[in-house]
Amino acid sequence: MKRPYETVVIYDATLPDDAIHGEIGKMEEFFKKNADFERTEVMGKKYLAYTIRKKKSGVYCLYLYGADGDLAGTIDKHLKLNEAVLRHLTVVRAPSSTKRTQAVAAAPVEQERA
Amino acid sequence: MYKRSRVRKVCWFDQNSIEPDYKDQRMMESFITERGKIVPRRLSGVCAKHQKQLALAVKRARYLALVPFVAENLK
Repeated sequence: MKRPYETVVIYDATLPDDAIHGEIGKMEEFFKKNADFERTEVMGKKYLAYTIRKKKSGVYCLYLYGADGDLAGTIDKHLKLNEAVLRHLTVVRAPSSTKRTQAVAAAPVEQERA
Repeated sequence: MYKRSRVRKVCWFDQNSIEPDYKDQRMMESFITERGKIVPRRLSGVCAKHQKQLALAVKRARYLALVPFVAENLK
């Protein structure tokens, strides 16, 4: 049974922009092949509340798609091996969250501290 | 004896008809204390349904480093 999912990926902000866009493109390709891909929302560069792998900031990216439950494991495996990814989280989308997600994505990107 | 009159608090989420969202950093920050703890509903006035959703959202936001597990100066 297909369910609506969303995956938040934090990319290493120290990488050049081209590399990050390349990674986002790769992920989109992956979702287009294996799931009902809806859209990508780049939430922008944000300061991390605590350091992850000695990095202080990351580029947050949200992928929205519909897929079977097995795909979550595949994505997990794929992202864990990717060195450009600091952290990722996949959750089943709540029906009411879609409207809010659009508003959050449309909000201005927070300036990086320090 | 003097009887204190209580003003009934209204759930912020019901009032604005929105749901807790772990991606909304500003919203999550407004429901945690200086130490990084989740504000109890007896103080915030959030209803039981939304407090449960909010707790899950804060935990997800912590994992994604949007809000701290513990305040930086208290580590």
